[in-house]
Amino acid sequence: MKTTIGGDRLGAGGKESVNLKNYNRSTHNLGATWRSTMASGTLVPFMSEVALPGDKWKIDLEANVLTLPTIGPLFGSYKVQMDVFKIPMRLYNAGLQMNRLGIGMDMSKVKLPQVEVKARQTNLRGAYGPNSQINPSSIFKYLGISGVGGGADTTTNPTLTREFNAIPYLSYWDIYKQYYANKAEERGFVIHAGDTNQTTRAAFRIDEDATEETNIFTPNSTVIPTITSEGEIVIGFVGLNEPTTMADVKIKINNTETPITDIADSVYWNQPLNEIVLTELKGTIIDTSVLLEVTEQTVSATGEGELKLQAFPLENIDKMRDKILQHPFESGALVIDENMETPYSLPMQQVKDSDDVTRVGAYFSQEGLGIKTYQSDMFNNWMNSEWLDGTNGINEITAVSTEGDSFSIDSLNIANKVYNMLNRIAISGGSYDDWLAAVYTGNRAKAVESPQYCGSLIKELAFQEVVSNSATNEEPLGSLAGRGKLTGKNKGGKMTIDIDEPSYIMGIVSITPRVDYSNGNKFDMNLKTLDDLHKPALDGIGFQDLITTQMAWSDGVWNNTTQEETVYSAGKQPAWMNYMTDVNKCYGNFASKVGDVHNGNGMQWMTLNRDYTINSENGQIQDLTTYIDPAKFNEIFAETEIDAQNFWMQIQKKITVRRKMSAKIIPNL
Amino acid sequence: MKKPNIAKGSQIKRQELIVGETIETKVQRIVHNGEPIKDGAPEIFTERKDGVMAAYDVRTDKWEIAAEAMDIAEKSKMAKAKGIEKPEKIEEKKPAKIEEKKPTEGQTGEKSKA
Repeated sequence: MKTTIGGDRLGAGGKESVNLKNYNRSTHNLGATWRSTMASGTLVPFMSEVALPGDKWKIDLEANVLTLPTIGPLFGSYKVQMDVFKIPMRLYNAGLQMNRLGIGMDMSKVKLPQVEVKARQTNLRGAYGPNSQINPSSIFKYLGISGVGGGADTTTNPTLTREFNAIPYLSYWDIYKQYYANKAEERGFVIHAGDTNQTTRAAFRIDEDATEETNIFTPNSTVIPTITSEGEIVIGFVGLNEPTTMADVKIKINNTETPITDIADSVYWNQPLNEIVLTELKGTIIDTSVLLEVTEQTVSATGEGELKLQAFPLENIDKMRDKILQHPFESGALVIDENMETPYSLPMQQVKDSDDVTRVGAYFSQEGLGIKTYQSDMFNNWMNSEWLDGTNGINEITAVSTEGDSFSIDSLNIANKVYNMLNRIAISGGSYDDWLAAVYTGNRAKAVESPQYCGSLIKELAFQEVVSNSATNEEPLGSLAGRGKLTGKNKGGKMTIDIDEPSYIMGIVSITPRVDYSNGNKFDMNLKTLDDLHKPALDGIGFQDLITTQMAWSDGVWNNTTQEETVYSAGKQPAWMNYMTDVNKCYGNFASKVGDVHNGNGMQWMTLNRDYTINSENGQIQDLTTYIDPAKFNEIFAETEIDAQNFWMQIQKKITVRRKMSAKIIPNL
Repeated sequence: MKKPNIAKGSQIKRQELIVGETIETKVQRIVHNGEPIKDGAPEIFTERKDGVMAAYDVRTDKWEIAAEAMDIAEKSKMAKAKGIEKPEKIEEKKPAKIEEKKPTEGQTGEKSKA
């Protein structure tokens, strides 16, 4: 290998280059078979492997999926997808940015970020078992952690803590944001056990003499002339469970939402009164005239809850990267613990199980697994309305001023150009790379700054009917059941990955239901005149609202007097969308639930109907989202709860790695 | 068949309630009331031979497109490595004709009709 003495620089030419000994390679078999049960909609890591500089990975994936027997035939199919990503370790250490000087002289200074995994000692003595600390379907298990450690002294701290390499865990969520999340919703979902929800009910600001109380709970918020660091803020909650992450509770300071942990050095839960007390106030609220406001907000709280889907802001993933890059690398490893933002903190948080024994999140089924979105279709693909119509949205920024009852053609022209540009950015996703691609119609040559997609294997899971050959008391001879089986579809699966810096290779498998719809009013049923039809001259209109009554008829308010309907919007989508696409639909008993008051013979469970959860009081869709709720598609199986894992997944990873490493003679068995 | 267990309602909550407007109402506002079109889009017409193009189909699966592209790249690499033959050129579809729309801000209903 040729290298320049003293490093490459302008003018060095070839005079100062020397040949260093190059290491040879050998080929290694890293293939293996991975087997796990799964639920639909979850993102499960099936591979998390260290890759070294100079490696050439040849990966050939093959998969087999079966299901638990279904209680009837299923008319529908699932997409099965295995995606592989390359993640440079550099992304998770500030010391490895900007080709820092001198770092190569002592690479032991580069500490890998660590995740502080916890387990309760009550899971140990007398109860040792393979899964007594970490659940075999939790994110930590899939990434390679089966337990914190054994043999510890039970008389001291009841909680064991141990730091593990956090790169796979951090990169899992980076992949989630980059490839699986719906950025228009600005939130993601994760499976989390045990938490309940907590809602704010009141908030007061208390003076330093502890006498005057000012209600700062919306809508009674008020301007407070001065508050000193000796003052207090008290936020009351409806229930008695302490919020899991204090930073999730927000207070508005001059209309800017701020985590309460950023404005007070002391934040504690006052149990008898179900309130958070903030003392030792600091930052922007001190000694300035500010508008303080606490709105009604629901956050997760500790308690004996069930397994649930927990929402988190997608920006938390960016915040974590900020934290990593701002962490002084000389000061040791960054430790991810239970106090970090969600979703990172969740598997470490303490939760009581049904026997009232305190555990940690990772003890529970599927803890920490991210949830993906449905396949894109007309009802699962929308833009955030705020990006277009909101304050500082594209329309507001590009509006032409007509002050003085006139405007110049120049201002109109420029507004139109800016509008087009912003529009392209918003449609493409709104990130920096999206901006580059949309504004300059090109991609930059770049060092990798986020996990890189390397390839996929895509298959389709359909269901076969099974005819009962033996009668039982419950089922007569000839009853129909079913089982899932892969069809012949097979896309991709083979990939070659060249590694040029220490990296991880991660594979993520998911099962996505291809959904049907049955509850909406079709758009053309609302047409009144021929003038309502699409006209080519109006193709220039950019966007329309995605009207939710197309998804569920009851999500509008019909005024019988005016014969008009107030409709709601999920977001924006390109105009005239209904003329350009369609969705799968169910009718008859397939569009009716078992026990439906109007049709007791419902067979919706035999399809993958996107059955919106409807508020029985006002008819509104409660779960208007593009994220999959795994429990919704379990009715065909005997187990319908969210912790059910009805799919049996087997992935054969044929992997050979050409690696700068000596082969070894292996003793025969 | 056995009786199914019915799933509970979803735990996922809707974010906010936004009052919407159908495209037909929006058109009426623009055409009959002469209100300005505040948003716009380029007019795109595709060639018949191209069929339904992925970029203009809301049901396009980005993963399938990516997997196909990586598959082609992988086959190309393999062919090169084996020195069998030059990899087949991927026939690229020409991009659809895009007609940039004239400025629309302040456009009146009469103009839209025309």
